[in-house]
Amino acid sequence: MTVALKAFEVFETAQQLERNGAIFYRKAAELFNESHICTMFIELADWEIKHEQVFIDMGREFAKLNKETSTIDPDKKQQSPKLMACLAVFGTLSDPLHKLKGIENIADVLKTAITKEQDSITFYEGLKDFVLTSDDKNIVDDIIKEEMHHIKILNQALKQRE
Amino acid sequence: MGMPFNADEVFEMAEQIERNGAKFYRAAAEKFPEVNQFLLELAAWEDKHEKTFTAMHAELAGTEAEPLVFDPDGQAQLYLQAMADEHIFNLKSDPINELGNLNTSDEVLKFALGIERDSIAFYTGLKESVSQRAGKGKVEAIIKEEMNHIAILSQKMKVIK
Repeated sequence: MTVALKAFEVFETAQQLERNGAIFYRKAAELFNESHICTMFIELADWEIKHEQVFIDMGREFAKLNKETSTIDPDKKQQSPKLMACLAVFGTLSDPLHKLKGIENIADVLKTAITKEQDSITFYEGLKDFVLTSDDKNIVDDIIKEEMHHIKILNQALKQRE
Repeated sequence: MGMPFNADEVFEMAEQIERNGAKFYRAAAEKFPEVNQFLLELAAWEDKHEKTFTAMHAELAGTEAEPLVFDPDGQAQLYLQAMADEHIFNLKSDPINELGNLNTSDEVLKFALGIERDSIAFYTGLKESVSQRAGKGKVEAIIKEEMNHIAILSQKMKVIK
């Protein structure tokens, strides 16, 4: 049986995704000596922290509209909390530093980072249909666009190494 | 920045993604009889998606050379180019080659989760690159269906464990 996520758990999952992303990028920045790569990873980590704060604020607002301990009202046209639980399989449970174990070159780190960003985009596409207000939908949409921008940056760095 | 994709190229990529997905699922269904029916159903969904993209492509006949949407900074195009880059999406490689490394049903379902995630990430960029007239709503609907594939794959993984 699939467990449904409670409302506040959905936002906690989003926060955890961003925290894990920041931890990953900060650790990646320590691994290599190339200053422009380190700077890029640190900037990406700062972006993820910014996103985490957005989801903290969104979770608080959501809690004002729904009781934190309640599950989602099935009559509201929202994304299913069971689907959100399934989407949360991407990247939230594994230790972000585990992804860096055994990786020895920057290209592999960049590819792992791209996959991580894709995980976030997938979860947030579901989250867009989960939030209640159009303002929140637009905020999540903006975050998706920023994660897409991260993929462009990472892919550009990867191509420069070819 | 490289040459921008036109409608023809973008929809051909989407069609190829779905063809690759269907091919993978059908080959996997033969290799793993215990999840045969389940994987064949997913293959049928991908066939349906391919037909949707083909129809969207046909509706734009005569406008293939034009850009799909007003994209003055080229950001939408840059994302699609990044996603179409072989590091992320190798559209030319035969998906059946991936099956050689997968030895259990659990591994094939986990691999399929990655395929669906990659599709969603590409279609998210495609959605930003097409207008409502060109079919943004249809791309959004396909993204939702791919998310449901993730849900049923996740549920299936729990059942077979």
